[in-house]
Amino acid sequence: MTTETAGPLGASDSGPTSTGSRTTLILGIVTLFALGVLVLFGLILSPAEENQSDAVRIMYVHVPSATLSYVGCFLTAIGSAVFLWRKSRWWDLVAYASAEVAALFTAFTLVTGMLWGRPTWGVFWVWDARLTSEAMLMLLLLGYLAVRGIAADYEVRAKRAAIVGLLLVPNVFIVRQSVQWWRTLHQTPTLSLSGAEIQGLMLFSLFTGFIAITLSFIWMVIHRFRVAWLEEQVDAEGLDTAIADRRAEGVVS
Amino acid sequence: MSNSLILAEATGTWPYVAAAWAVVFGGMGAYAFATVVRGRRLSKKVSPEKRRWS
Amino acid sequence: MELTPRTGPDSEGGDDAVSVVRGKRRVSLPAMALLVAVVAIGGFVMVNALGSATTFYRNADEAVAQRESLGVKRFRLQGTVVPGTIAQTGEGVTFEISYNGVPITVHHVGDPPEMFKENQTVLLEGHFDADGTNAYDSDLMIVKHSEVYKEKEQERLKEAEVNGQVPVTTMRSGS
Repeated sequence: MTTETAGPLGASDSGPTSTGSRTTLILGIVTLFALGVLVLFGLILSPAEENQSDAVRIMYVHVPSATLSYVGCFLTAIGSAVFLWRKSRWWDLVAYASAEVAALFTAFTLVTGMLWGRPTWGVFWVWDARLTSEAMLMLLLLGYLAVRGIAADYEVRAKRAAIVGLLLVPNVFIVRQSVQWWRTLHQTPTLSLSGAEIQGLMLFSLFTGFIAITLSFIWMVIHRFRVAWLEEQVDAEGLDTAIADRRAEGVVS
Repeated sequence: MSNSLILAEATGTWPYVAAAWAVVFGGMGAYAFATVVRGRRLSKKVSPEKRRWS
Repeated sequence: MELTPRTGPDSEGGDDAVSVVRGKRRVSLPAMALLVAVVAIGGFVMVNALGSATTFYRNADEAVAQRESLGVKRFRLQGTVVPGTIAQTGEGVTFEISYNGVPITVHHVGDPPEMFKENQTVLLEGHFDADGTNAYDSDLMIVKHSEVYKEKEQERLKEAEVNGQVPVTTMRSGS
């Protein structure tokens, strides 16, 4: 372990010994501030709901988590598409980083959804179209990460992953539309183009939730991308050293 | 419905709210920490010119 | 003699080693794509079956229209709790639900969820009574909630007390 005292934000002033930079440090501070504002409004200042009383507060983390998990899936699909098209390693790593963060947010969505369902619906889980398709999305993301974990030639592994990555988009679309296409226990969206079915401080709390969770998402994807990048460099350097050593010793068969 | 029942509901939902927020905040914190630790460990193995972030 | 960072099972010495990074097992791309497509289609069919084909729930009016064919078969029923019909029974609660003006009397066994009350939309699991009437025996109740969120009445009253007047809207500063 290092002796640096900087927190999980990473220290940009100590040189590039971490995945942190000046930009991510500032982003991290802003993110922490936004998360504080979210706690203040979501848990303290916003009112209880008429039917659900305080359980409504789960929405302020559940809905933004779900939205950002979709964003992560789209980012993974874009990265996968660009990789398949141009063989860009940079975009492959973007896909990888966002898939992992998307999986985290999908897990948040499922867990907070269950914790919201119990006090409001009376059950943690029901196999309606929304919940089922969301569970499928989680499995697909885990599948993506599993494919990346299978040892293979770089190109082969990235190509396999990219194909799974592209499938995330139709799955997200099914999740999103499930409440419109089929009869579900899950309610339809509160925020839509036709207006919001929520007002005042509750709307503002949801808004702060979107801001804070979006900033957290960006911070996490950047850092995860840098970790993936460093892993690539370690692999490459390891190989270089091996070849150099072998050359120095003379070829052994 | 009586007021007492509404109050009972109010206290009844807080554990779920606390658990949900703890999962999200705790999960993000743990992931952020783990990612940074991984990054620092890997940084030591990579030559400086290959890890310049902008 | 082997060199440590070499991870490929059959890497050779010399320049050839550059292309051999890890493993050599190759699965053909079309085969992979096919597998993935099958999984995706399977998943879609599964959701479709769960959501549409088997109908996640029937509304009260539809259930009454299909009373004959439903018999005592188990299905999910949806309707809104009719005010003034809720009564406690020894084993649970009895009440009326209605949808599109068609009522059904429900005999529910077990404790209803906390959010169960008049005018709430509920989802029930059970079957029509064996006596041939439109009474429905339920053993699982789920309370639906809408996408509409309103401030609790109490909060508004509290605010009214503070301001000394009844607020016109529930909007407050900060938004």
